Parts: sequence; C-alpha cells; structure tokens
Amino acid sequence: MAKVIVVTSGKGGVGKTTSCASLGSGLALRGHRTVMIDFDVGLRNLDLILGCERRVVYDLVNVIQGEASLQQALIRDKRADELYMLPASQTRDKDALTLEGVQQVIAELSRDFDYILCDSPAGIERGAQLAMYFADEAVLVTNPEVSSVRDTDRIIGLLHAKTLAAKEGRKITEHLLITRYSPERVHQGEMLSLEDVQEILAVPLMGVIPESEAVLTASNKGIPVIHDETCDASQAYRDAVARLLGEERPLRFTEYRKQGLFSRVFKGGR
Amino acid sequence: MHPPANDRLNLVSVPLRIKGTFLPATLLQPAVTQPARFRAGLAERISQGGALLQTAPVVLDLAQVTVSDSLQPWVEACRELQVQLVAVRTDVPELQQQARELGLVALNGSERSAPAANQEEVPRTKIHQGTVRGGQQLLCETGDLVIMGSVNPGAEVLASGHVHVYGALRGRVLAGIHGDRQARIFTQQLDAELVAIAGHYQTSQAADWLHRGVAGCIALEQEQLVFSSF
Ligand SMILES: Nc1ncnc2c1ncn2[C@@H]1O[C@H](COP(=O)(O)OP(=O)(O)OP(=O)(O)O)[C@@H](O)[C@H]1O
Ligand SMILES: [Mg+2]
Repeated sequence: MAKVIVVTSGKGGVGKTTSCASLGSGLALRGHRTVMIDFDVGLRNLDLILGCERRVVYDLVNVIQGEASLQQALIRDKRADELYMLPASQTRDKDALTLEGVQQVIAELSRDFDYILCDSPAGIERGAQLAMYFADEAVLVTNPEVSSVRDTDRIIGLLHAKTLAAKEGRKITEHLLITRYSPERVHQGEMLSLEDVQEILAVPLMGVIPESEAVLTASNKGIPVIHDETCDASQAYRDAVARLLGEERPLRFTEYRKQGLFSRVFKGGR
Repeated sequence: MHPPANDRLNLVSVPLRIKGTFLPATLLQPAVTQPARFRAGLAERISQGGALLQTAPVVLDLAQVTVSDSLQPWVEACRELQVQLVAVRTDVPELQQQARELGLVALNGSERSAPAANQEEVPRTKIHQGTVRGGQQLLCETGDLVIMGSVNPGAEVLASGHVHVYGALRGRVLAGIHGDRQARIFTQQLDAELVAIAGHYQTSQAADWLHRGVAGCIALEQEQLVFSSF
C-alpha cells in the first residue's frame, strides 16, 4: 500500500510544485517507487518543472473519464528510474475531476507505488480539497510571511475536517516545509523567523529550503533543483526527504552569517 | 469609548432562562411533640449561634414525629423566631393542606429534593485538544470551553461560560454568550483579535492591551473589560 502525501499550502506561488518535484525525485533517488499527480487542472506545470511537457499525451482527466488507461497516461521521469508522473489537463474544466474518479486512480496507483505525491492547486476550494482528500500525510509548504502562514493554518483546519482520514477518525501526519527562507532578511526583520512560523503553526518541521537563484535556473531547464547537488536548496531538499523517511538531520542554511569577501567570490551568492 | 452590549454578539438573546438547581436548604426536624418545647429548644439553639436558620431557607421536616392536630403553632414558633421557613415536609395530606394555606410549599416525606427542571441545563464543559486553526469555530453553549492549545488568527471560540486557552490567544474569543456577566477569559498569552464577555466587546484595533503577550484573565467589571495578568 502506498503512502499518499499531499503537497499543499493555501496561498499560491509559495513553492508547492517546486517542492513536489524535488521531494518526489528525492524519494525515487532513494529507491522508493514514487508517482506524482498534478491536481492543478488548467494550469499544468509539474510537467514543465520535470522537463517532460513534450511527452504529455493523456492526463488525469482523460483517465478519470475513461478516455485513457493509467499506463497510457503515466510519464516516466528521465532522471530517476522509480519516478512517474500523472499530468493535469490544460484544456479541461476542473469540474471534470470527481471524487470517485480520483479515488479509483489512487487505489490503482496504490498497488504499484510506495509513495503518491499530490501536487495541490492553490486556494481552499474544491481543487485543493480533492488533492488532500485521500492523503495519509501532508507537506505544508509555507513562506516565512504572515499571509502564507495564515493560509497554511486554514489548510490545516481543512485537513482536520474535510479529508477521508478525518472522517474515519484517523490523524493525518503533518510536515511543515518552509521555503524561500532568507536568513539575511529574517535578520533584518523583513521576514518571519523559523521560530515565529513554527510557534503559530505548531506542526513538526520537515525542512527549511533557502531562497536560491538555483531554483529558478533549474525550473527553466526542466530539472528539479534537487539534482543540482552544488546548491543549498538541493541539499536542503535532500535533508527534507531524509526526514520524511524518518531519519534525523540537523537544520542547515538557517543561520545568518555576514558573508566575507572569500565566500562571496567563490560561492557566487548561491 | 467602550462599546455597549451588542445584540449581535449576544448570539442568542432570550427573556429568561430556566435552570435546574440544588439550592442548599436547612432541614429542621422537631424531636418533641409539643410545640412549646420545640419553640424553647429552637430559641436556645438560635441564641447559641444558629443564625443560618434565620438567613438560609429552612424546611420543617415532620417525618420523625407525629404532629396530630394543627401545624399552626409549629409554623408560628418558627416565624416568631425569624426562621426563614419555606416548606414543610410531611406525608400527612391534612398537614400538607395546612402548609399550603399558611403560604408554604408542601413536600412529600419521601421526596429528597426537587428534581432539576431541565437536565440539559446542567453545565457541561467542552474540552478541545490542539490548536484551533484560522477559519474554524468552536462553540460550547452549555458551559465552559477549554482549549488545550492556541487559538490562531481567524479562529473563533465561543462559550456560554468561561473560555480557557492553554496556549496563545490570537483569534476571536467570546465568553458568556448567553449574557453571563461573570464569565471570564483565561489565556497563557494574550494577542487577540477580539474579546467579548456578555456582549461587551473590544477589538484589537481599538485596544492595545489585547496584544500584551502575557498570561492573564479578562473579566467584565462595571461595563468594562478588564485584563489582569497572573
Ligand atoms: N527556494 C526558492 N528560492 C527561490 N525561488 C523559489 C524557491 N521555491 C520556489 N521558488 C519560485 O517561486 C515561484 C513559485 O513556485 P511554484 O510554482 O513551485 O509555487 P506553487 O506553490 O506551486 O504555485 P501555484 O500556487 O501557482 O501552484 C517559482 O517562480 C519558483 O521558481
Ligand atoms: Mg503549483
């Protein structure tokens, strides 16, 4: 039986898709059969970040409507052997997703995979609720700023009320993933600190991904940033994957250090 | 400065409420059959400090002795000594009748106490484990609400009685929503968006003290919400 993990946030543009792609790749690199489902119907961008957009033929809606089989729709990742993805439809209406349809897809994938990652659309409406409905665990992607923290808080409320787990009296395992963290800006008081975010959300921390130019570069190339081992964001995602698998890792890239000339020259601010 | 009681925040407004209760009453049990001896004994007892008989409700319990003819001298003895007699307890129908004619309540001998008028009204505390998240609302209409966690921004908690928050209070909290002015709000860390007791409310915009960030208690005193730290 697969573990179903929703990657969600409430607020848009905080790094859900970026995180989903890197966490999924990380799990696969560690040998776990992993499939990612893009629930962001109409926007479709998990395939872009994975660099497989030109191989998309069928999508989640086609499978649910019976127009294609799962095998036809699943796309195998070029870099990680154990990684697959099920793309979202760009053209179809998001009402084409039904709870029963999603349930069937997840049940079928469950037989073949260890992990099913659901990349949620932004918001707290139907799309986000569908993406979280069958989850056993949730990765709560949050930026260190007030509006993102509040939206995540609302999403946690929905996880407790609107999911199958909640209805069956089970508890969803929650993981806080803080992304786009800039120790320097926290130091200058422009962003909430790690401690502030944790105090309000009261959810175990799974990782802190630093703000990094390498993320945008990687997205543009269609390679999840976790593959760029030289950058901090990749290391931070690897740590997060390890923690998701139950390993202990100390936090990195969260302390503010005034950069000296030496590191500025040699690290190029990455 | 301080907004008046607001009906909208007084979520349910009713002209009266009926509550079952067990008021403490004193049972006065004569051990003699002659009213005169009873009166003398009673007077002596009061002089020795039986003042409770003169301030709290008293029930004359005739279950132990047989009072054959008239209730009158017994009741008179009590009234002359300022005993606050409210009822007579007896199984004898004639005596019950006499008690009513004397303006007293007649209770059956076997009756232990008046049953609660409405069992639902017995206060019941609701306990919530964990943080109340933005967008969530928690309501306890039967008594106190205890939250073992924080109340986050955008969350709302309401109770007819007290509200206890064993965490930070960052959202909206309304105590005494049925008009209980004695209701209080307790928190480990005050940083609220809105607080209200019995319809008297204060928003964080209008009151800096809602962001003290310390542990304490909010009470309603002379139409004002007052915070005191622990
Ligand atoms: N650690 C990071 N450092 C710098 N930029 C980042 C980081 N993580 C994400 N971004 C950038 O933030 C933007 C939004 O990222 P992404 O698409 O993953 O967010 P999302 O939450 O999936 O958005 P949506 O709600 O639209 O689905 C992208 O431009 C991405 O490159
Ligand atoms: Mg996205």
